[in-house]
Amino acid sequence: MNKSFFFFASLILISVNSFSQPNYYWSGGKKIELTIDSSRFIMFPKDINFNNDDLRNTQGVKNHQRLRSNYILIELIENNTLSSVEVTGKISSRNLTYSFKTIDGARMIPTGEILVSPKKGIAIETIIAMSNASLSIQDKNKYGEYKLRVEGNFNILSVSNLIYESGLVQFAHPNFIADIIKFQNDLLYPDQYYLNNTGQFGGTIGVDINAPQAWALSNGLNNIRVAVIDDGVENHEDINGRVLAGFTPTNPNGFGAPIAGGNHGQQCAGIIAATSNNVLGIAGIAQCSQIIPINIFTGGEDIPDLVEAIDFAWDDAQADVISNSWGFTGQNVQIDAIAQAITRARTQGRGNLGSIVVFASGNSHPTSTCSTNQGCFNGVTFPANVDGVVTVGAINRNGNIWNYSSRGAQMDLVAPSGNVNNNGDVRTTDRMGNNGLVAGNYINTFGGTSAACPQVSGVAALMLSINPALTEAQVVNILREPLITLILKKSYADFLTFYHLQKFHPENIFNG
Amino acid sequence: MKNLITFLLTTICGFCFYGCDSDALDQECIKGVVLYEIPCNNANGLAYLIKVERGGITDSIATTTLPSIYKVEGQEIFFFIREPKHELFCNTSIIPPKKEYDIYNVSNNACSNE
Repeated sequence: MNKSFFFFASLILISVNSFSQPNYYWSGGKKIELTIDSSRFIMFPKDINFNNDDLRNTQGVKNHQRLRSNYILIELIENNTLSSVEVTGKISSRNLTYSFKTIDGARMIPTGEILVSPKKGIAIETIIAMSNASLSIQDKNKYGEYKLRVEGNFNILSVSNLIYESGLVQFAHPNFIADIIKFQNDLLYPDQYYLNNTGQFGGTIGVDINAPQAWALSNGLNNIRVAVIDDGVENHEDINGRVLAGFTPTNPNGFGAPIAGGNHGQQCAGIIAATSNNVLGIAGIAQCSQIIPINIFTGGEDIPDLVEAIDFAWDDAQADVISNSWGFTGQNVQIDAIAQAITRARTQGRGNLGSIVVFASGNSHPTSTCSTNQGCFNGVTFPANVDGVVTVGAINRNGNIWNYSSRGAQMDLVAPSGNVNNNGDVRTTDRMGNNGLVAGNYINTFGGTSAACPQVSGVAALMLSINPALTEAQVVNILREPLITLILKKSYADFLTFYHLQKFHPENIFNG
Repeated sequence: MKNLITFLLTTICGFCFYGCDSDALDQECIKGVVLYEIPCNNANGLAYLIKVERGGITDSIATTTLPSIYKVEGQEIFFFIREPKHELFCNTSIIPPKKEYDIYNVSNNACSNE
């Protein structure tokens, strides 16, 4: 018998077991209904040293992640099923199971274990014997609750239901990995579809950066510094004193503060760093990080000023992340002095670990109203096209690339955003009071690739909060390539976060 | 003496060419209306958008060389254009301006080549 025989035999067993049995488990004295999530399945490799990187180029496999040492989550490319996946020779396990969803769509990934609390006086051995399944005790806590491992090809729901319905236990249900999110009380958080798209404003559920799942892992650290090179940032009621003294290349006393008319940097900063759960305003992505404002829009900045701005960010201010929602307008602009400053940031920032440099891709893609004869062009703008820069384009709240969003070979990611020219739908901070663009201290018309870029900057800051030892190359690779998320040595939540960023990778969109 | 004359002629010609706006794209004087400042910048300063009508077509150009006294929204101006000396960079919440030029010999009355 070869491995492929066992694999396909397992598929048949899974298919029969999964689809022929009622899909529910008992909890709270009620049947909790589940549906099979046929796009994901769990593999329990017999060989604990099985290298799931072997799955990397497997036809039909979209992503894979070793959740624990003994099980791997495998996600299929859309319209593939287990039986259509070309995996012969790649998977050596006989133990596979589909993942599940609750009726409202929450993912419930079985771990292959059952949690059991026997009634008083009932021995666990009695329950195991009654189940007629192959069960082994994995763990027992001090309250007499057991974690049992289901061996072989038994349907885990059937086994746990049989145990519960025996009347010998207080509870018995599968062990699941489920999405855990923190609730937000920021008053305007419901508007922030880009963080958690629940279909508000006619958007498509799930077209977001999965921020709640990321926050379950980390809300960010106060010592992570994000430089916002823009038209200035000042303190704000919802950034709570985390705007540091920054830099204005043309004014030694400017310290990166905005001047009249400058609101753009404040809008970017809110997306990155607004305080969360303060019953006020919005939720930022890296909610504890510090903002280093650098103002390059006082009027009259030349190339050395821009170089100085970048060098100040990584060198003087020791920024971990440098967020840039700006770019040159011409198609053929290439300025080595700026490219060199970016390279210095990427290689010498953060004590030679490298600062992460994020740029908006630009809004110059040709459209019906802006042809190539009118200044628009194919490709991303400079400096977003510099090697090593994380280049971010914009999709709308339904997941479609915005027509204006510059794109090309240098693209890395896209994030949800609104329309341009203050006609967008991104909710963020505005400058306070009369200095603001609109009444109140918040704005809901931000957009363009300007609003997409700081989302990725915020995510990069969160990543460094989780693991400050990551190099710039590692962070960039994680953002570009979800298969390397294991570097974080964390569990399912970070996988989800970065998977969903990657999900909107422009290559996927452009390829239809 | 001969060398001095040659030097003077060369110098005068040099100034002549410099003053003749050899970079000028269009010797035609253009009529336009000042619109508003846009979040684009270069070494000259922040850019202004100017609405122009030529040949029955309405278009707009961006410039960072509009003299301060003409930075009045709705003001009608007359000017000449040439290739910009500095590249423009903008924040990315806007569609960047379609065309950037340096404008010169700006007037609010009539065109002048001086």
